[in-house]
Amino acid sequence: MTTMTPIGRVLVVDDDRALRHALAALLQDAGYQTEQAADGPAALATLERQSVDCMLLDIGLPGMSGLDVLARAREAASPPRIVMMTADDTPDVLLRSLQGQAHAFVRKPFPPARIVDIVNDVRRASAAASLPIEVVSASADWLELVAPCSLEMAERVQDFVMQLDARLPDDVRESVAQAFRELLSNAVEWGGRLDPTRTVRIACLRSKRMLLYRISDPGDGFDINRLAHAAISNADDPLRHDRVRQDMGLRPGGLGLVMTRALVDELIYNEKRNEVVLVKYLD
Amino acid sequence: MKITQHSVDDVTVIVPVGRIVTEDGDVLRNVVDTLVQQGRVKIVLDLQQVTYIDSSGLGLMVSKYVTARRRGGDVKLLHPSARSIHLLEITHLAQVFEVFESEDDAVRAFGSSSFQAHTV
Repeated sequence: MTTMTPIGRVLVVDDDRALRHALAALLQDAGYQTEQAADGPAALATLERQSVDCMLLDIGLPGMSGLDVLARAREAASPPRIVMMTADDTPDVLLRSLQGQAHAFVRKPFPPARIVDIVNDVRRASAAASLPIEVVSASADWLELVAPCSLEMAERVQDFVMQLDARLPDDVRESVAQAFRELLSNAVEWGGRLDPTRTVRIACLRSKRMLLYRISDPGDGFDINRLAHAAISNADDPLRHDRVRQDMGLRPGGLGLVMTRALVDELIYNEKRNEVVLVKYLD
Repeated sequence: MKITQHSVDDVTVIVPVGRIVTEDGDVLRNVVDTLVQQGRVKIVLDLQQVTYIDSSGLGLMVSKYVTARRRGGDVKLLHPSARSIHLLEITHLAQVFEVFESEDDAVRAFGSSSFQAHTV
């Protein structure tokens, strides 16, 4: 018999015994060592006893809620990355999870394989992905964040923000999610130079008739007339920007702006172009 | 991202599983670059198991299309989702890539036959 070295240690915290065991079994099959806890005090006791890489934490625990456990677990000497799980589809638990610096958030029910993908992503994420996100406003109608400039952080923020929009029609949600991701990636990559000591400011406003996202990056902005390496400047030839990028030694890309313009109703830059607002109308 | 590939004569069918995005682009880039270095420039990119493509992923597909075409080959797309087709349309790349719903048709567009499978 051979013993495989586990690829990480995961603590599964859920009062639903069947689900807890099922998740643990899935993660063990994927190569993880697992621990289980049925309530908050047992979870915290496990964390005191041993370090874990990731904690899957149900919010609706009896007695001490998962959000209380999240707050306490963050005080641990070596806090795990925490993935919140809940069947509650209101924005409040998501926003409180974000305030509590949860790494990710997943709504039940979810396909079993998804949880393994999430834990794999959490395990592979760099230290920059776990840097704190400052929550300036945690209203569902006005979410405002200040976050470090890294692509992993951008993905983490996008995942949280788009779950606030879970009730939108699929086509609207997908378009907004893609546009938001493109602009946020641009902000952290080109504005923030992927320097996690710099930050982007993100505001997500929701009214009955529109969604509005504002992203401010710490860069110097850009000149729209000097974007020969972007598809938006080469409307007559969809391949020319790639040749320019190859000549400039840039990685493949240059399609973000043209894509975003087509996915949302309005795209407005400030004069320096280091701040952008996108608007999607809902009627 | 995981990628499998199989060959039909001088055509290589690449099957990525997962997302084609900034963070995961190296895997696909390396596979295509290796094929091109081997002179295998007739490529079918099967998007059936691709869950998401961002602008960098689309840019990578454009870049590899240009590379293959410069060497006398091509990159043709197989099984794109409705979402992927929409992205191709809004970026004007629908006029660049040939799109197929059947592997046989995609391979036949190069003029090949016989099947040999392997995984990377």
